[in-house]
Amino acid sequence: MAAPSTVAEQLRLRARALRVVAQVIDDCGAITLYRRAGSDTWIGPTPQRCLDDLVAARTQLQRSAADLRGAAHRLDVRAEQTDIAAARLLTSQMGRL
Amino acid sequence: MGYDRLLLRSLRDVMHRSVGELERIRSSDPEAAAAMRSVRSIHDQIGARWLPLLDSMVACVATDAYRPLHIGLADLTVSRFGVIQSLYGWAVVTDPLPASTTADPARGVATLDQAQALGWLLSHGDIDALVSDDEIAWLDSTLVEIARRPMLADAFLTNLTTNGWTHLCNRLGDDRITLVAERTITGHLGDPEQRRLAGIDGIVATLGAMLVDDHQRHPHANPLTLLSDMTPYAAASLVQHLHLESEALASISTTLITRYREGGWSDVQRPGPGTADILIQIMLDTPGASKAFVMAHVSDPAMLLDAPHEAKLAEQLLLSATSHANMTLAESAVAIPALTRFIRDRYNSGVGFYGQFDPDVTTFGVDLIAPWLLQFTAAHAADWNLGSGETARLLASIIVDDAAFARLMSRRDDVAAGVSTRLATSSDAARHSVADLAALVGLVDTLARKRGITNASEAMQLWDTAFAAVSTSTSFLPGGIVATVGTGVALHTLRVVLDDRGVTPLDGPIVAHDTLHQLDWLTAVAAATVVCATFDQMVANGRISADALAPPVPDAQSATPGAAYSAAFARWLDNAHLGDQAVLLDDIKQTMMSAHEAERNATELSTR
Repeated sequence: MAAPSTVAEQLRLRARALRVVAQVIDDCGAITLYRRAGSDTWIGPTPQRCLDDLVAARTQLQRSAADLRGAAHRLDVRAEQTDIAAARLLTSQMGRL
Repeated sequence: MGYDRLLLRSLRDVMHRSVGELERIRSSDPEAAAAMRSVRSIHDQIGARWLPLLDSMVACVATDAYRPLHIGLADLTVSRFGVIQSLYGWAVVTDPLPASTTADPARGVATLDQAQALGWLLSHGDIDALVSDDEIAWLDSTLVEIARRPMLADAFLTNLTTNGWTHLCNRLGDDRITLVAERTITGHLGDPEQRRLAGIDGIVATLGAMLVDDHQRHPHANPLTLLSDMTPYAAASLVQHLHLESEALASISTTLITRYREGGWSDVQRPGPGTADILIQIMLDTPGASKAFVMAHVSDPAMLLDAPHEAKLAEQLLLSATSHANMTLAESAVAIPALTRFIRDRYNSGVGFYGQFDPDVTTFGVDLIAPWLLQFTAAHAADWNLGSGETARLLASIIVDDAAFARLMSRRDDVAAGVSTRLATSSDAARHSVADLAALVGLVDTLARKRGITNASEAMQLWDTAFAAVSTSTSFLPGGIVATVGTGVALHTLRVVLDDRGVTPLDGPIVAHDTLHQLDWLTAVAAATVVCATFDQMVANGRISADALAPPVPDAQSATPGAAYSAAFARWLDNAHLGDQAVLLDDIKQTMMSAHEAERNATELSTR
């Protein structure tokens, strides 16, 4: 089996880094902040707007984390394709020898 | 704005940590650029907008933006703040943002805590002090929002006690009575009063809708139990919106009207619709409810007739319940005689509930019996298990004067419809039809003789009544006649005779001096109509040759049109060679004429 190319290695490293960032976002306190801003804590027009903003922020952060995981997956696919291309090239060169 | 100090401080602390976390989220990968922009945006929004606000509140900075308030429980529109301040010890301060900036049309402004607080305050607050014009308007719109969301409706209903229902609905009901009375007396209301009345009606409608929805979600919940302590008026107002089935509606109407008649309520003797008026209108709008209520109170019609402020409404309910469309013959045997006796006694005593007297009671009595006039004939006395003398006495107790007789004549369509219904539901319509028709014409004849027709207009009404019954009934005659009067050869001949006389049997000046002639003519034409219609149908069916001699028609010039017609008819039968059909036609003619002839003989004997 062919050794991983440098390019593929780099792609996988990037993918791993993106997944780490996605996990950090998931674990961020801002995701669950809205739970503390409900009518148990405060009520009124301003609190309602704050709650609405925090719920929207949660949705936006979750979407960002999902986007990062999607990007990581695409990088992994590209890394795999790079490995396959390198292996084919190596096989072809050995055949000519 | 109200808040719990400890929880708000906790929110502030966690928000601080979250902003720090967001700030530390970084990535230089180009694939993460969009996500990083979102994170930055959220960081800025929370860090720059909400964190300073919470910091300022937690720091207890006394500025104009956060003035401490004492709300109490005296204002519905801020009930959620009043309840959390009074019950939970929350701090309440002014909100730096106006309410309108957070009103989200999609979500509404009502919240779970607001629904709970509102239900609680309506149950435990001083309701008399709670419902200003502003509060009514606010309550109207807020309840609509609460009712729209089942979770909020449940929260509201859970906190609204039976006493709360009673106090609120009674208060709204009393207000409404006053407003409606003012409108009735003065003919108008000012704008604030109109808005208040509309608000009250809106609130009651929404409360009713919430009860209906709640019953659908929780079938064991019986909304009617809430009505037991309310004033009859308040309960009736709510019943309007409960969409009850006919039997349940009749039952609760009985309960509420019975309580209303005990007296002492705000709507007693007040202008405008009262408890019974509201309930009667609901029953009129609910199929089957009118009859269910009337049949339940046949032994005491005062339950209905004495309770409403508008007597006509009760009469409308009775007429609806006792119409042929709603009442069977067996039910009429119970209802009509009993109601007729009640009206007779009412007419004789002239006294109603709270001294009311309906001068049109005899008019109503006539309207009541008109569809059932056939049952007042001697031939139909058995329908109601009454002797013929009893039905005659009952009829005489209603047709007490010329006005009553004129009224009966004006209700000829009801009379004719009653005969048609009877024939249509009879198992042997053809056999009964002629006899019924004859009985009815004879009855009208009898009544006319007793009253003594003295003018042309009454004579015309008498004619129209009998002829309406004849015309309506021709479709039930032997042979299944479907032709309308005047289409067959024989009928056409009769029609020509009638047209020659202008349909009206006699001119005004003549009729005043010749009532007997008038009635004689009427009966002869009625008999001839039936005979001609039957003859035409027999020709159409091939039972009689098309060349056969057509039956005679009454002679308008004769001094005794009835006798002349009988003689002409006998001669025609002898010469027409109709075979077996002659017997049937002779039966029809004899039946139609016999009631009249018997009555005529009696009249002539009595005048000798």
